[in-house]
Amino acid sequence: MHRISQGGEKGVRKTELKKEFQHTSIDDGIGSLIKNGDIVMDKKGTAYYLWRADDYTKYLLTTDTKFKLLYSRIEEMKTHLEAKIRNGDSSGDTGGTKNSSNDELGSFEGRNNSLDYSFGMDQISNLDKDKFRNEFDLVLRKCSGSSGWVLLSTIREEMERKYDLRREDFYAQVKEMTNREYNTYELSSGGIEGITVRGLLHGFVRCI
Amino acid sequence: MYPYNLAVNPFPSAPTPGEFDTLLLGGQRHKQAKLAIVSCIEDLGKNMREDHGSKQFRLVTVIHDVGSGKTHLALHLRSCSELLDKAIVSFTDLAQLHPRTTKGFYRGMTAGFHKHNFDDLRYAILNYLRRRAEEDDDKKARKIFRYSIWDKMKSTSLEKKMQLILENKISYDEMALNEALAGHFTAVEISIIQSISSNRFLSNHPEANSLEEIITNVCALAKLNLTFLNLISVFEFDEFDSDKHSMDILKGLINAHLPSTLLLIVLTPSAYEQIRNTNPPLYDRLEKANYKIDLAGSNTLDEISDIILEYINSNQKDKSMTFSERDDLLSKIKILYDEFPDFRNIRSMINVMYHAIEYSEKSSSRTIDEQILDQTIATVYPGLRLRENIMDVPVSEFMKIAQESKNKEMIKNRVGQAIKALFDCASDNGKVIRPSFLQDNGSSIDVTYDDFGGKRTVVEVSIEGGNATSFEGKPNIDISKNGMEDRTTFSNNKSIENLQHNACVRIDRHKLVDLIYFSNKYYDNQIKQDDIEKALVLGKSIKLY
Repeated sequence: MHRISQGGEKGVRKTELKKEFQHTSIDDGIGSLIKNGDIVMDKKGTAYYLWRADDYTKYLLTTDTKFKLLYSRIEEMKTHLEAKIRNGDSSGDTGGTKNSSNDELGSFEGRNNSLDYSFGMDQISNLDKDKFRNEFDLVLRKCSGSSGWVLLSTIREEMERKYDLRREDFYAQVKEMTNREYNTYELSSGGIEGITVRGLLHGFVRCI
Repeated sequence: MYPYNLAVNPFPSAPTPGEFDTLLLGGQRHKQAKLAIVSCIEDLGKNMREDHGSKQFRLVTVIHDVGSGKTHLALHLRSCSELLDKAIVSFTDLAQLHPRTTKGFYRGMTAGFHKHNFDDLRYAILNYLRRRAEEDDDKKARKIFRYSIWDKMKSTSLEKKMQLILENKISYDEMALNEALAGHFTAVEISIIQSISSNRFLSNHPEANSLEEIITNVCALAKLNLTFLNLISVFEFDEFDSDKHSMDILKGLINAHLPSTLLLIVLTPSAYEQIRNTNPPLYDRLEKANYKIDLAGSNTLDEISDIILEYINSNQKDKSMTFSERDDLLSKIKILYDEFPDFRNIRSMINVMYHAIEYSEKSSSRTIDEQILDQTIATVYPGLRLRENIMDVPVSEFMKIAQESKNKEMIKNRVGQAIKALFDCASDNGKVIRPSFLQDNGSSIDVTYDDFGGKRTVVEVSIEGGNATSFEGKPNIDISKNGMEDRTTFSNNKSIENLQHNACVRIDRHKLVDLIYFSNKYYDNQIKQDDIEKALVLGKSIKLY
């Protein structure tokens, strides 16, 4: 482990390690360290190298732009979450009393819940976008007649039966989706509810 | 002189298409729709020939949104060359029919033919009678032409007499015509023949006061068209809706199986839905139409571009558009289409083109350039703005920057300069405290931007020093996403510690235009207070600070 950490972000070639410890069987040791997540083995060119986990992260940051971008986004999220926790703390401090340990516990739990909720909401809305589209397409296919046109209100009603979906949320999603994918969906004016395009209520949809 | 070597402005300027505008039909989807209808008529004609005397009838529906080109297609069929020897087409705009009485409906159907259709029919009828008089020595037929001994002595031919009747110089003998045709045609058919032969069909044709009379008369007219002209009769009803009387008449016409006739019903999905709710039997009949013409995708960019090119190409006499002119125009159309949802509609886009061509002519421009489109939109659609942009970017500037973004190297440098300008502006206006920013983030910013070619690029921009620099980097990775290639280039001249501290900025294509537009003004010292405020919002929106 000490020898691998000496390699830093450049890592240590596995064959070199074998040469250095030629009288010892190192494969089992390396295997268990990899299993524990202490070290990482990866290919560099044609050779296998070993890194300490932290060094491997640094190595990737210098060589893999995709990883670097992901890493920076995660860091951003981390900072964002920490800021949220801090804000929660300060609001708890100003608004609440800390007279009893029960209160403190309640306040902590409250913060935790609100954090979970806001993080959860982000996740749901991301998930919903894809799920909404899939469900929308499914209902559109199911309800379309020979002309292909379906009332948006029919799709909304069908989807409302399965999901707790508010009318305005449904149309906001439809507007966003049809505006983004105007080569996939086609809208037509009329109907009793829908979205407004060019000042006209569009209450029919079909797939192109 | 109009641009692109056009002798006239080829684009129509009307809220709905007129007769002359519809001589052309562009767009692959519209052409396919036309082919489907022509094929349906050919099929009907073939069946009529193979099974002479049978009552062949076809029903065709065209269901699509307003402004998708349904009326254009229907009007085009009335004069298209492909149908000249196959069908005679009547176009009835039901929006112009009010009230929708039985009499009015029938009048609309007969008035929907071209006048020359009745001239042709008149000629064919009189010619048929002339041949009967000549070839069969039919005395009754000769009497129709009032052919006397004097005519014979003066060597006036029957053909000459027929010509004089056609020129309305002499009249024919109506009683004789009745006698000659009796036994060959029904009373209604003879009545129609009388009206047509005397050239008063459109002004004084047989009335139809009931649905039964409409059916009888239309059947008779269709039979005459087939007998004398060997043509299928096509009745087009535009703007068909759920008006009760119209629905009852249409249901009757469909049930009657009008011989050698095709009914083409044009309606919107909304009207179709209303018919479904109010008249299920008619809805059921329409659902069982022989052809359902699908104009799906009639407002897509490809279709609109194709239609616009068709108008231009068909009106260029000596010299056609060059490839570069064509590509330039298409790229401008694409930007209008992408950035303005109002123009995702063929009618609106044609209107823009009409005005742009006029402005080009006035300014003696050989092409439609950015300034002309700017002027057109500002004049014709004064309320329209680029919605996604924070800065007040004129359409012309948007187009220029979008065009320039195709030059990867140039845009990379300009992004670098723009980020530096925005940072300086934010710093000068107290939005950023330069030393603490540099301490926290280092002197470089990682900028990821989307260009107009669907590519995503990452550059590292130095915000320190006299000039902004974007580091040159080797191509690093290709990411395939949604079928688009996102090529990421990245500089790697610095140590990992510094890179980790870099601030990251993400710019979509609208913000890219905002940024470069701001930068142009900034370096040209044309920034006003209003611009600064917007620029600071822009900096915040891209998370520069």
